[in-house]
Amino acid sequence: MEILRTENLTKIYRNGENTVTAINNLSISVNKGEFISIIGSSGSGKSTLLHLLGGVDKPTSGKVLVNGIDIYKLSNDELAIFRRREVGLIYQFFNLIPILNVQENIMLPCELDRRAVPETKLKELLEILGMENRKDYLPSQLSGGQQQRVAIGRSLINNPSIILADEPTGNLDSKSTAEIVALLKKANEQFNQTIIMITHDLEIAKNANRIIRIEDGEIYN
Amino acid sequence: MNILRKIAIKNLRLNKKRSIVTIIGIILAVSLITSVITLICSFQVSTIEFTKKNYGDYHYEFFNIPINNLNSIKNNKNIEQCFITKYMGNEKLKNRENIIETEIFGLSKEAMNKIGINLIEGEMPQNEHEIVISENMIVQEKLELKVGSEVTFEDNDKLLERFDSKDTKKYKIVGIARVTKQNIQKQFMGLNAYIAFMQLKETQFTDNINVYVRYKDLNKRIETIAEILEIDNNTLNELKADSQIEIEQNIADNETNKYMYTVNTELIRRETGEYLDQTSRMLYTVSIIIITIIIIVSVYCIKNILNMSITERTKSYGMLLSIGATSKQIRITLLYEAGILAIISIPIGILLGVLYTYIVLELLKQLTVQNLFGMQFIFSTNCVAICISALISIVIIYMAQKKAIKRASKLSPISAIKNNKDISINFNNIKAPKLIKKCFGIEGVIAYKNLKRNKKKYKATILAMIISSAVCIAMVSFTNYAFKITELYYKNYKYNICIYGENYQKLKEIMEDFNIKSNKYELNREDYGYIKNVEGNYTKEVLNLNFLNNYKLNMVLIEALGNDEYMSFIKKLGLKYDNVKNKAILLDYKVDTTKIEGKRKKVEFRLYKYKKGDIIELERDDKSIEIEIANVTNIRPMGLRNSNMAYLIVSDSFFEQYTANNEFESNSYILYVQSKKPNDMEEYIKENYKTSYSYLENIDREERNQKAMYTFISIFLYSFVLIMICIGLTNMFNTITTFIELRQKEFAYLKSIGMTKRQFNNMLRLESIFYTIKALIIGIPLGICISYLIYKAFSINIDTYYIFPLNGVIISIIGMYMLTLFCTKFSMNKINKQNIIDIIRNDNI
Repeated sequence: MEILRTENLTKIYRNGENTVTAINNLSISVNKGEFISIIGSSGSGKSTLLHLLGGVDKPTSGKVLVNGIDIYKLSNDELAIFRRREVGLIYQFFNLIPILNVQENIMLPCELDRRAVPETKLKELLEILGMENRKDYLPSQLSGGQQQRVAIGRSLINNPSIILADEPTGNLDSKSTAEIVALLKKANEQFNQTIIMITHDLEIAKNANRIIRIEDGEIYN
Repeated sequence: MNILRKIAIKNLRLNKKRSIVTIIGIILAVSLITSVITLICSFQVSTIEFTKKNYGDYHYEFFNIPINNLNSIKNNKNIEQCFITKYMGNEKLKNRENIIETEIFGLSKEAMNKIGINLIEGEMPQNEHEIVISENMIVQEKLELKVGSEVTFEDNDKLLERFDSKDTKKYKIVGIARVTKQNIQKQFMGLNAYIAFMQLKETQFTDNINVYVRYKDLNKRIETIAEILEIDNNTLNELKADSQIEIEQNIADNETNKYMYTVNTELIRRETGEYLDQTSRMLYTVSIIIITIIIIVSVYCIKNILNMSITERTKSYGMLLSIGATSKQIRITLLYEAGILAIISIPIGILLGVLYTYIVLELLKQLTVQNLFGMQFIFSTNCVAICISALISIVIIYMAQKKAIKRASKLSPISAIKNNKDISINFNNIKAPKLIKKCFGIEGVIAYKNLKRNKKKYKATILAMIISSAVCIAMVSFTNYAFKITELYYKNYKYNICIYGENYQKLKEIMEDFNIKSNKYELNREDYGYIKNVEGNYTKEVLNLNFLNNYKLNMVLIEALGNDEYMSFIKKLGLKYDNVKNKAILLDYKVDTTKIEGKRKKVEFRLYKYKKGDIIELERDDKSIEIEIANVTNIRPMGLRNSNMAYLIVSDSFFEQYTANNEFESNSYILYVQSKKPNDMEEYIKENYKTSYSYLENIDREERNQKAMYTFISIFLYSFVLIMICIGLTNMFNTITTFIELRQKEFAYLKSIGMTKRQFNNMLRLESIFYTIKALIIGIPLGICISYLIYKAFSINIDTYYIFPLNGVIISIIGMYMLTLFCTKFSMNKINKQNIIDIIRNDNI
């Protein structure tokens, strides 16, 4: 079942007279439950693609359809709600809210939605993340790997349609990297979660079902 | 130009808005300091000028100096100026009824304007045929003398001899002067001495003269006196005391002095600032407190403003450090930047401060409230005042920047580049109250937690808000009281013109005038007597409290209020005229304040133990009468002053009966008139009955004057508060905008995981509400405390009740919220315009 599709997606950055085409007429299709790795060299446009898929950036032209809805036809507030409910974003630098503790950070998308989080779901998630003993810690009291696990927890809490991970292991040591990749795989297998992960490490990419390579904003065959 | 200096200038230019706000903040603080200093300076000059005018522009007066010795005084190196006068003797001015003794003085031309002759009409005499007479001659003797009249002194032969002239018998009055008690030997002649002056030529000063001197250096005044009086060191040592004034007094009392002299203490006091009276000391203390508060707030605010601008640019300093700039170079760059800010802000601030003071003093003139202060306010500023303001401002900026410099030079390049130190978290997982989550959702929780984050950084803003709100409440409270008390005070008066007199017939003449008759009027008469055998009848308060000694009197005042007033008074007490018409109502309740066990307390007490039905025996001049007490009351009818004596209030018929029997002779009368046009009435009476009364009071004008004075004080205080709030505002603006901008990455994360614009705005709005609440939790009680102190201060003199400054509280709540909201809104708009991805991408680069 197709969950995400892009049609002729293009993103051009303009800076004075210079224009850079980050994404060039790109069309891909992702099915539910797929674990996709996007690889490519630095500046190839893979992060831009991920941001376009997550609804945090705006394309110059083309469409992004999630569950058949063209997300860039939504209003700003609708787009925010879309991000909250349908997308789970994981960044290289974790991007946790420093004043909220582990549990609060994980629950944040639900809280923004004014929805109560089922206790069992939270407990299960904390267990999977291995953070049950640290749920009251602030991000600054955690290691990088632990922070990234919280970020994964946050992306999973709302059962989003897709999880978009931008170099989730880029800032971690090898042990933490292995843990995070295992965690993502587990989410994919256990919850049939669709995951699109950007990495420049081919070994990590190999954990996915499918690898897409992007160069100069286009899919490289 | 050095590259670092270029960077400093570029930093200021690139961040135009913030630089402007910083400069405005410094300008306001500097202008506030300058205006306070200029005001003090103006006040000092005004009081000195006032003192010179009223007490004379000299420091000492030496009497009876042989003219040959004048040069020895004149040549003393510490003498700046020297004026001479001559006492010409006591002469008799012949009036129709009695002979008026007058002290005659001859003055040199230079002495005319220097010895404290306050000309109220006409001009100074030009020769020995013209004289200026003292005002009290006309007022007290009711003489029909005016400028241009001629007077003849009866015992004029001596004068004729002195001038060797035949034409000096008659003098032309060219002016009338008010002579204050200190000048012209008045202290030797009693306060009511009548004085006349003429101008003498230099050759006419013969024999002994009086010499007035101004010293160059007042610090050396004792030595100079000793030189002039030829006191040897041994004697001087014997006369030594703790203070200069005491030494001076000792010297003045020393019988072996060569000459007698007096000291113009008032002027010396004003010029040196020594031995200030209580009012002046209080004024100086208050000024020092105000300056201290202003300086503290300014230092804090400027420090914060500069700190914020550095915080915002920490990243660029980090870059400089990482490419090899030394800490010293960074320090110099920052100092250079502070220098630029100072060069721009200090002159403008000083100019504005001086201008502000000028406007305030002009306003004072416009409001004609000067008369109430008893002196003319002169705008004055001098180089010293401006230099002090500039110096204080430079020190403040330097101190403020020093801290920031210290911080910047300690930065490690990487933490500076990351620039996350200022938004780092200083707490371990503080939980937001459940109520906040319930009411405001996650936005409320985040806003609340942000409040707890890095408290230190927000301290200055919160402090500025606390001070602004407390001062605002205090000021509103002050105005409330000032006007309420004026109203309360004047509400007691049912009449707006009071005419005081000592001659019943003359006052009656005024009363019979048809202009008065057409209005409501009342004649209050007063007499006095002594209670016989009073000793056992004092209350225990009068006997036990030492300070009440001045209440321990057997003298009472007997009052006839006038028929209408008397009737309404007994009605108020629930008494019937027939029952009380031959009796007296005793009013002996008193209120006073005193120190009891070290604390100042208000004491309410009665003077006597007498009660209803008691009979008092009054005596005066060997005659005595008995009066029965019809009632004892604490209600004071109109017109009765706050005196330390008790009042016996009687009916008009009773009063007349006794004065007719010549038992007592009444000597004080007050005619009250309720006029629709009090000012016209005042003019009318002054014109037509000038000599029939001793004093006229226009209550209406007094009330308006009082209100005008309070309006002026309020405007003055409010403008100060407004400037303080503006400084606070610049501070709040800088802090809030900087911290919001520093947190923009966090905001981007929140938006990226689905926070809507409404939720985001809500979150920031809640943050400002929480800040306002936090500041107001301290600010409001503080303001209320100050308002209570103001109430206490006012209630010393007048019986009033505490007014809760509700309007002040509401103003400060709304005001503070609007101010924070304004600052937040500014940043909100800026951040809402930014693209989330730009911020996140920057982070991931």
